[in-house]
Amino acid sequence: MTLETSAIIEAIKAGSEKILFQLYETYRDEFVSWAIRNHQVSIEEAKDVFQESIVGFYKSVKSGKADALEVTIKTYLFSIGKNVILNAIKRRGIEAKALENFKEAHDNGIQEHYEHEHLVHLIKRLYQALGSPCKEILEMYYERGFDMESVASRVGYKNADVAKKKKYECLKTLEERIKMSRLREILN
Amino acid sequence: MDESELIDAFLRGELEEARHQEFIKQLDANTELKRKVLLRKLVIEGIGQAYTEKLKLDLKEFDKSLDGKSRFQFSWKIAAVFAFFVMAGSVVYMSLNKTSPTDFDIADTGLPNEMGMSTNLEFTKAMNSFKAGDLKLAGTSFNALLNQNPANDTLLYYSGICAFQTNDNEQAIRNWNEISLASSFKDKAEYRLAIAYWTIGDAEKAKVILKKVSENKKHPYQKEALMALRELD
Repeated sequence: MTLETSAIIEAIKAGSEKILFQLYETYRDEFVSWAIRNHQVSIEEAKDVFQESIVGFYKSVKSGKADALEVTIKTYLFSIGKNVILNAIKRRGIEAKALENFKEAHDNGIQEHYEHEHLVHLIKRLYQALGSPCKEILEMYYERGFDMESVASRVGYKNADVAKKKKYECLKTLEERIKMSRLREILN
Repeated sequence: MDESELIDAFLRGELEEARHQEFIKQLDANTELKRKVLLRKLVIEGIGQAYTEKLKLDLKEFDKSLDGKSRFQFSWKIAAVFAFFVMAGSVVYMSLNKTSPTDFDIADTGLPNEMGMSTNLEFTKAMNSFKAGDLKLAGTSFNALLNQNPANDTLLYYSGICAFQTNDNEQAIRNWNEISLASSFKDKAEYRLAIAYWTIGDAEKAKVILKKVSENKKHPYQKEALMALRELD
């Protein structure tokens, strides 16, 4: 892995969003030309796919999958994009049979997967319904990995203790809403 | 550390090995704790999913701004009309003699060049452009270096000044927001961030930062923040 790749990955892990937008700006046009030339997609579709690639790269960094990246970030982004396009083409082809296939292959593993996805989706909706600054505080701490000092500084709180207290209140509110929702039966 | 913090520390991998093992034992024995950890994991996953959705939307918006940028470069008529309105606006503005956020900007003469450091040649060139007042060129050079070293606070700070001075306030805000608390540029960046927010019309964020700075007696820009805050209020 090059120093540059490593520095980019570290910056994303440290919560930098800026670098993702820089990567988008740097490689977008090249990706769009490549996707149109090789996969006959429209400009808008190609841009949409490249946005998915950036999100995919972000997820790989957060999950640690990108830690052992052997290729350049550009190659990685293009390969994610290629997979997104190929999957979409494949999906189009099997769309008509999708429901039938799903029923046939409906074993416990799939059911558990869908239940889990459903749970996460509902929790996401409850989180999105939280107001400001709760949403921002929880995002900074849990998703972007900031410590409480950084959270306090960005939200404009006096110190980390104030931010910590607020984060606790926000989390409590969210967990109470989850308990009051239909999720209670599923989680118990 | 209460239970909630303990769960967070466990999931973030911040517990010491012995404490981590002890927590795993507790998890095996305590169903209620296990349920709480599971719920916290789901909450974190939900927040993550919401964030990636937001990121995708932000990228879409960013994409539009990129197209807007390139269209603007080739639209000389719009540029001429825009320049006319800016000039006319400036005259009216000056005649009214009102203060603007940039009146509260602070001077920065740049960093001294260090002789004999060939590895910093690109940085020295960028800094020379900055000192010569060619902020567009300096900004481009700082940004090129930032691509190689995105977390470098010196680059973030000076690239931010170039962006701010060339009216790319959003870029300046993004840069200064990235500067870490441990950086020697933190105080300057913090004050500048407030002025940048004020410039784009986000008075609320500007006030929050200025208030924080003005209440900190040790902050080198406490007086400036107080004056700016008075003007904003």
